[in-house]
Amino acid sequence: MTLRSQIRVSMKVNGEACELDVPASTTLADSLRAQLSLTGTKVGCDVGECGACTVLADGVPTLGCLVLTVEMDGHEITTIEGVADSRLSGLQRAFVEEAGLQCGFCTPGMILAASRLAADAGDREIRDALAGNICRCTGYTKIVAAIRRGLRDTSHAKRR
Amino acid sequence: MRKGADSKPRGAVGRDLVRVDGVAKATGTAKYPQDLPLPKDCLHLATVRAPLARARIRAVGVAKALAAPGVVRVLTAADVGGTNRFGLVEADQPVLADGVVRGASDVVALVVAESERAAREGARRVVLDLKKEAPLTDPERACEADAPLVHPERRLSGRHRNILAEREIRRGDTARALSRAAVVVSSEYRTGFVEHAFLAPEAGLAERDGEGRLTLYVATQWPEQDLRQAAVALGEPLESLRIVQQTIGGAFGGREDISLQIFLLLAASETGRPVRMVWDRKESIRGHGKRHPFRIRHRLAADSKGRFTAAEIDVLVDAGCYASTSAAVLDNALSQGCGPYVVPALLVSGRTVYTNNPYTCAFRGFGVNQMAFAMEQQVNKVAAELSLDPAVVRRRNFVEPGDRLATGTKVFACEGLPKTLRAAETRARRRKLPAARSDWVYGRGLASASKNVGYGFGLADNATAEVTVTRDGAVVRIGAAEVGQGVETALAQIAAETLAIAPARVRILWQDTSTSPEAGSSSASRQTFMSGNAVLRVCKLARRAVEKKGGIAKLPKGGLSRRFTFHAPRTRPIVARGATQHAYAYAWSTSVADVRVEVATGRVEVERIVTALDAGRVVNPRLLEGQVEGGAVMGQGYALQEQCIVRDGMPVSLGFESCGVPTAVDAAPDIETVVLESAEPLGPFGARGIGEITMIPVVPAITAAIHAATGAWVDEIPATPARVLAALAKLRKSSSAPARRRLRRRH
Repeated sequence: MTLRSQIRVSMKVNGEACELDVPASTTLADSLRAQLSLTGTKVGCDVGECGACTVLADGVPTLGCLVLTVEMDGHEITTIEGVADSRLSGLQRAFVEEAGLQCGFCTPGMILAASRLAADAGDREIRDALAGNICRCTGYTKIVAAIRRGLRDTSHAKRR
Repeated sequence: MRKGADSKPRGAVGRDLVRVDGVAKATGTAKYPQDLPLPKDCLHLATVRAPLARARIRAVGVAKALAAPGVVRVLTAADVGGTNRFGLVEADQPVLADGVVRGASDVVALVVAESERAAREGARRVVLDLKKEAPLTDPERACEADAPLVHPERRLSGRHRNILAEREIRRGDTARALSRAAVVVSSEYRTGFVEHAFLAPEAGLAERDGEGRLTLYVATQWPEQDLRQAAVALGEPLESLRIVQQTIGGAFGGREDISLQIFLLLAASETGRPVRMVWDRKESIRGHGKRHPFRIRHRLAADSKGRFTAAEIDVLVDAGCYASTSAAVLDNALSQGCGPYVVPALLVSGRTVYTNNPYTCAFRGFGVNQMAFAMEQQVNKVAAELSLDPAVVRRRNFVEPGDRLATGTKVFACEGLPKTLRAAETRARRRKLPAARSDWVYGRGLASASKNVGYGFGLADNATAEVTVTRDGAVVRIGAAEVGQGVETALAQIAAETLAIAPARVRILWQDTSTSPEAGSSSASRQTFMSGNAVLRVCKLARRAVEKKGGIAKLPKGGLSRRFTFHAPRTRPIVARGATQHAYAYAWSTSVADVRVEVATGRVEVERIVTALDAGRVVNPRLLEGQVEGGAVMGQGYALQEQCIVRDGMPVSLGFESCGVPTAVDAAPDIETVVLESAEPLGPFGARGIGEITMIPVVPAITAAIHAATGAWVDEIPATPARVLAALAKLRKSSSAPARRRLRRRH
């Protein structure tokens, strides 16, 4: 039996500091899901093809299945659970109201992948930002519409 | 934009109600099977699969695995208590392979361990002693007298044991009609394996509940049918098994067959502890079925006005290594072999055959897609031969109320079909097709289609609902799987409308087989129709009973309950000659696709898809549009880029990218839906099912657009760049002078 050495990692996850002991080979997606019970981060392929595990690392959309937890030491992670407090975020509300989701498995990743787009992003830009996020249900049309509206609503809310 | 919207009743039905599961999905709180918290003492399960599609199993060495740290048990066929066989139609699939490997989905052993990692390590240490045999991968070869048999134990009289099902339908004298036709078009069409690629891979958890029942937390299209199969395979009483559905991460037919359900029940039963298993994407693609590859030989004859006079169609369908629903797919395909057209003289024949390829199963469209691709190409070729507008040829041949489809099924409520064609064309013309520039040529193509709603073919088809009405609202119990299509929301709307209460006061409970009655599968475009009817009727009963009591305020504390089973109208199996009524309702649709083709590379991009759909009365317009858009992109993928490559019986496309699943960048940026609402006489509030038809006409519309752009016919899908280039080369080499001129003009 080999002894798997555990490495201590300190991260800020959804605004809260946390310390995890993980083997070096553990992915961020697995740590979030198994150790922190943040199961809103989905694993659809585990090889970086589907984008369901997208989270924000220091505000940048990042595939949770392609980064190791140890690489995130000292970094700040936002998952879908950290996107909204008591109320839905603008993007979340738009996904719900515009029917930008069906089975819902891609939705957390979609929302996080879109979250850094500029408020006036055009359809082409939105689609490019989603190029690494697969949806098998919607045909993307309503996802793009939801993001367009969600970005606009968010920026309006900020201005007010 | 929707036509006929003014005829909508006021209330819940017909409104863009927000999905009832939307917030949970957008906040990440919806629990898919892989998201469940681990129970105390939970064990983990890993499969051991053979690296071959066909082999004899000489021995399974489990000693090394058992000695590995954390491994608790290694289960093989000998541990399966019942028949060790399951299958949706024929029980020909082993839970654990006993003696032979027939295909990629076979599992030889299961390793149960204290952690996921230990289970996987253990699985690697199971030693399979296999005698490799040459896999049977060619369906044509499978029909030859000396072909190796996939299921030698099958007892059949007078039929080759590799032929799972064989059908022939004849009407009229095709030979005579063909000899007198103004034009006869003969072609061969081919389609490939396609992966469902639902986003959430298979996962589940099994444990005994408080009442001693083996309970499975899983995501499936038809929980009761899973349990019936599991009970026989494991030798467990059906009453001792229960499924509690979790959020379902897509399905499209790929969760209709059993995947890991029986493994989990077996391991939990054998160890007496909770057991969990989560498949990764590779295992998901190996573990469930694929869309059926078809080879279609098609002759279509018409008179000089473009009216069809005869068709001779022969199909060969690869069933792969297990029966699944392949015989039903063949029936469904043949029954709609001529699309939504009248063809007076007809010979439609087909076989579905066992091979050692991945087994093929239900997949959105259930065999109609392949036939529609072939038939619509044929219709366009007839139009081209006669120099007629393809839309005109369609109009001249569309079924009208009282006409018969290929199998002799009389169709009614099809007045919407020509309207879908007109509406799709009109909408499509709002955009002007760009003129060819540099290396890109542009084309627009059109196709029409029909799709039956419900099982049909004489199969039992029913749905049961229970409602409890209290002063606070209504709780409806019905086991209709919410796979993402929105049935939970649609049923809430139907219940609210019928009970005349706000939709927010209705709860639909569909998850638990121990408390929600059976609704049948979420497949065959049937849930809005079947469960919708069950909910409508049970709510009517309840409403009448409430009124009798003097209104909701007078109800006792526990409220009032009613139960109702809706039976689909009677249907009959296909017969070789004469008429049969194989389905009770149809949806009708026409799609127009605008594409551009890069002549140098053969690359095709879809710029726009317009679909006009006769949906019956629409329950939720926005959710319906979501189905149409999703179906359009799935159709686009099928037409141009999706293919699960299989080598020596093993799928080698084991990811989204290698299966060609479209991304937001691939997908047509402009998808428009035109909804026509003509009431379906039998549907709840006039609704009919549309889940499948949304993708069917898109495929031939795209290949028609490729032809319009280039003059080339691509008769094998996906129309990859290589196939488009080959079709262009063929066109240049063999085409008549006018066709060459056409091509030159375009460039």
